[in-house]
Amino acid sequence: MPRPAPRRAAPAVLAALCLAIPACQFDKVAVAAPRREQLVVHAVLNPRAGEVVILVERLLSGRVPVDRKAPFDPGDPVASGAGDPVTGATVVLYAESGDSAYALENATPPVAGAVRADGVYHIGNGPEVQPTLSNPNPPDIRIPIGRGARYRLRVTTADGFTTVTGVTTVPDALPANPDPAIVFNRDQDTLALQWTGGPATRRYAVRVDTPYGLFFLFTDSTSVHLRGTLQNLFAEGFPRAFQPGFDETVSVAAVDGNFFDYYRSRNSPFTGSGLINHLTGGIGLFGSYVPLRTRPLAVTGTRTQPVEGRYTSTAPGAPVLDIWVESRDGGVTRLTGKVTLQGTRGLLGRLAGSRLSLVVLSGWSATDTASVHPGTFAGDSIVLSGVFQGQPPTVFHKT
Amino acid sequence: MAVLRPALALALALGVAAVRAPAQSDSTGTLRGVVRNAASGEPIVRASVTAVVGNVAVRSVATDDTGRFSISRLPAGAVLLKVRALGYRATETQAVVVAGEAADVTVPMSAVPVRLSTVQTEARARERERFESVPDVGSLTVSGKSLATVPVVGEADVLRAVQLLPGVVARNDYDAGYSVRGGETDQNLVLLDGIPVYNPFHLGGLFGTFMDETVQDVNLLTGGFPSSYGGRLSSVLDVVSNTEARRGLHGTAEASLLASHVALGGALPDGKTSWNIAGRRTYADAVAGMFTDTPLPYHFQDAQAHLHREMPHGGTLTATAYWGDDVLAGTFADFTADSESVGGGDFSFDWGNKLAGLTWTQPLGAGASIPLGAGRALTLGDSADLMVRASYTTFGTTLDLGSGSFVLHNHVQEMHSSAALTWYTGRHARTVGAEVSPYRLEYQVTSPQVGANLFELGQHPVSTSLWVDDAWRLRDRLLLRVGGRGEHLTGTSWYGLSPRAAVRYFVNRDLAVTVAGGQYAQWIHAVRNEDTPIRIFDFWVSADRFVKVSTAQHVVAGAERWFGDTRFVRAEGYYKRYHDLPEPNPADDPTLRGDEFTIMDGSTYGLDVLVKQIEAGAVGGWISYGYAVSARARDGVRFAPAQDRRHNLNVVATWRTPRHYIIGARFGYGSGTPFTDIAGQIVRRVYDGTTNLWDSGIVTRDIEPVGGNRNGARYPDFQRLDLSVTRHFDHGRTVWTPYLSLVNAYNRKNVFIYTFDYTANPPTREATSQFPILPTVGLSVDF
Repeated sequence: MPRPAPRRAAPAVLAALCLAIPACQFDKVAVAAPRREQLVVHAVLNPRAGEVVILVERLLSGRVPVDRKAPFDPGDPVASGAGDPVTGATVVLYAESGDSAYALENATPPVAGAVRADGVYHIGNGPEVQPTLSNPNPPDIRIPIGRGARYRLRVTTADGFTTVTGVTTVPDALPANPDPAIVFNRDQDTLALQWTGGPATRRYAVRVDTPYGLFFLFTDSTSVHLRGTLQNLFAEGFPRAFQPGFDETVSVAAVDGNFFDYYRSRNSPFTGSGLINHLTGGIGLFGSYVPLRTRPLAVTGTRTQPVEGRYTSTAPGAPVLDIWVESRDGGVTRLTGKVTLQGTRGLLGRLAGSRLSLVVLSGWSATDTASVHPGTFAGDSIVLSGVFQGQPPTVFHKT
Repeated sequence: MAVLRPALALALALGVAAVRAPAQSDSTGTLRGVVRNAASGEPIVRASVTAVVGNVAVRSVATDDTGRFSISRLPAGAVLLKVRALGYRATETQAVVVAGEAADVTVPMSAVPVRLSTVQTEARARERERFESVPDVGSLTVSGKSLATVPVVGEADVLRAVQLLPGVVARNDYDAGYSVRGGETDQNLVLLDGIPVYNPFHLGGLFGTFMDETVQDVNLLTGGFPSSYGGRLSSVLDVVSNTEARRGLHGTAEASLLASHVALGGALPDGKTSWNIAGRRTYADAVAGMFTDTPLPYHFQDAQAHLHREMPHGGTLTATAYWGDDVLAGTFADFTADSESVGGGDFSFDWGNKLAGLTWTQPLGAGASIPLGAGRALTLGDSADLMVRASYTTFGTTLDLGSGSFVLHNHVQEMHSSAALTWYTGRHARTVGAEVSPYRLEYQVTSPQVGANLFELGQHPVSTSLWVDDAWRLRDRLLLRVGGRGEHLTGTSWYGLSPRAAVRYFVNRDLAVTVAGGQYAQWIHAVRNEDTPIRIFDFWVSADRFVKVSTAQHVVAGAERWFGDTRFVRAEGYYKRYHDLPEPNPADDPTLRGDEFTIMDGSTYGLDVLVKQIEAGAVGGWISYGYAVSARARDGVRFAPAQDRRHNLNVVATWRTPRHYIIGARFGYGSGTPFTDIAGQIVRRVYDGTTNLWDSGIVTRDIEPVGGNRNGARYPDFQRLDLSVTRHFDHGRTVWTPYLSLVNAYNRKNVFIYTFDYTANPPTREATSQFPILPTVGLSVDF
């Protein structure tokens, strides 16, 4: 989630230039793992969230192989997210008032039914549990996350040899309720968002969840205008941020300096330096995030091409297809849209001549392919295979 | 006109406008003229011209870069001019000196029948001339035409040849940039006919700006350079444009694997005006398309023009202009693995140099004087020369990713004006000069699509310099050069005084020892981390109240020994200290001024050895060896800079066979340069404040390397052998010259970078190679 900056653009440009370089890879050898382990901690305080989720893991050192292609589980973000989790750590959050709370590792679920997730620690956001007769010494597992307050995090490994500490101050900005969803025509509209800032805010983070990944921008202004033509600098190929047919969310938050510095910087692929780290004893982030605006968008576009439109079928149980042209390159037309059938999901496609290929997604991410359907497009009709298993191709007509 | 105005003001400041024409005594006069190749009309530089009256040689001078000379205070009457130039038959010409007047004379000389002898003797004469006349250290000269014998990658390249000289370190094959005696790459002053060039590179540093055909000479000063040069800490690369003095239309057309270029030139019938133009355009984009489906939407094109005009009274007026444009533009979808689904977007990236300059030189003859009032005047010695120059240099780049998603713009502009007055008195050649350079630097990062102005910097400083220099032949065996620069930069409180001194003692005619030193200052800095092994170009910013002016001190001591007229050995030891070197601060806040740089100090010491055989016969070339140890310190942490190559050896040889073949070879060896070893990898987790989840919405997980001690490791040694064969075919009035080059002839796998993978057990390291074996063919046609 870095800011747009020259050092972010440089790798893309270098990559393009390096296509001209006739280099080759060679001499792949095993190297020794680093003698000393380093701890990586990620934690963000969010006053609107019910809990603080702290990720504790090791710097990847080769001691433990990780599977970069394993399916990602948001409930188990370290182990399923190519990480090397640290279990058994003591994680304590201190408020400047003197209160403190100990985190519970997911290995000991605080809530029945929670998934086991190594390296994921939780501290509740709320007032301390008061002693009762039946529970005279309640565990310190909750602490209120207040706006404008300062907090200190301390993470100590089970062996006690490594301790990581960090400090953050939560921006004193007023959180706002989520905005209602709106229809956003990317060919005509510009999304204008305004918000009210507050003390201890270092920057405002603007985030767009697009099918091809996140678009992230930091600004010191209390407003932003996002054109429908916006392209996502942080996604491979710089696709347009707003894809017709997709539900996307634009959010704005006030963040502290730690959050800003961590996500606006990155390590150089050549030197491994450049990341701005404010933790002591380890690497990572202990920052603060106060949501200010959340605007869901139902993205559409202006339909001008023959293939664009809403397609329905007379076949019972057939979905409704909404299709837009994303772009044209040479003889290929790239399509985008959505599939509606007991819910809505994203749709991507490709049209070359009359040959059509549609990819139905399992959600709104371009990488989550649920099914692929070859077919044809002619006149106002689309003929798709595989809509119904074992059945002949299904005919859809533009309505 | 705006360019010329400061130059005129400078001239006035120097009192030049008040310089009176020389007043000849009743019994003496002046002879001035030009020495030319009788066949081609080309001026002959560094020819020795001796005036003989009776049987006594009364004065001896050397021709300048335009083949001109002036001898004043000659007795009226007949004078015999004896002219000698290496590679030419000695010539004698009778002339008549008229009392109180200046007579013009042209001396034609015939070349001895050795192929390309002009080129060879120019180089020899220049280096021997420098050895004998000025106590400069670290001075290296390469003839532009002799560069053609160095094996090339696609294109003959001046900067590639410079990388083979002692004291010069090239980080890797992909970088035409160079470090001189441990300095950073932005510390090199690059001049084209005296005009500053900011980014003399194309294609990410793969190629230099200068077209081989346009270059007459390349002079490199690797340290301890005199006070006439300022603004950079480490070196001066002075590229002199070729002047076509032959009448009619002449030129060269050349096609290589990467580019084609044409150079045309000639002299007008009056013989006083010559012109050269050249243009080049690459077609690597088309060549790449033959081998891969992935397009290479890149090309560069450049053009250069040079005009030389002989003015009345021995003056010359030269004009040089250069225009270059690199364009990288296309559609991102073409580079996307999943091009089936990505909508894509356009990108546009262009950058280039533009420069133009005008130089007027005027010999003032003997007895020129500056009136001091009340009937008094300061006589400027035996003779004097005036030089006035005005130039405009600009480098700009605009990067537009995604039609306004992200726009980066950098622009540097320098309006340089300078004047220098040199007068010769007895054993002194004194010069006083002045320079004024208003700069305009802009650096903007914007995102029009979101209406964000992410960073903006505008600077308009003016540097002013006054300098003096006295080249003094104290005794026959002792040359002394002292001088200094007084400098100031607006927008800062900085005033600098940079003394320079050099002394050379001749043990005998062929052996001399030299000691030199000086202080140097630099106020224009490149925003660049030297640890990044490849450069596209540099962003430039000026020193101001936040960014300090960098300074350095050089001390150089060496000896030079000539063996005959065509072979010499030079060894120089040096020590350099650097102060306040800026380095981009990765943690800078884009909305704050003053934190863009962190400051380093440093030092370098080393030894350079050069053994050179000038191309007087069939064999020529050089062996250069450099030993250097560099260190930098920042925030108390000491480390070796990325250019710290301890040992650097280059052997360059050419052999001209009797059958019109020229065989060239270059062998390079270098010890490993430092790099930062990777100690692990960090998975950058992304927080989603809407769901309070980590890494939700992530498509590509960001796993970044984490470096260990800065530059705490070193790459393996580097070595490379390049070979080339060139053959001349004469067809009437044209010469056809096909060539074949083989770069990295034995396909040595030199490490460019390492990439690490710590997601595997065990972790792995993989090398990316520098140039593999690369054959190159081309053809040039001269007419």
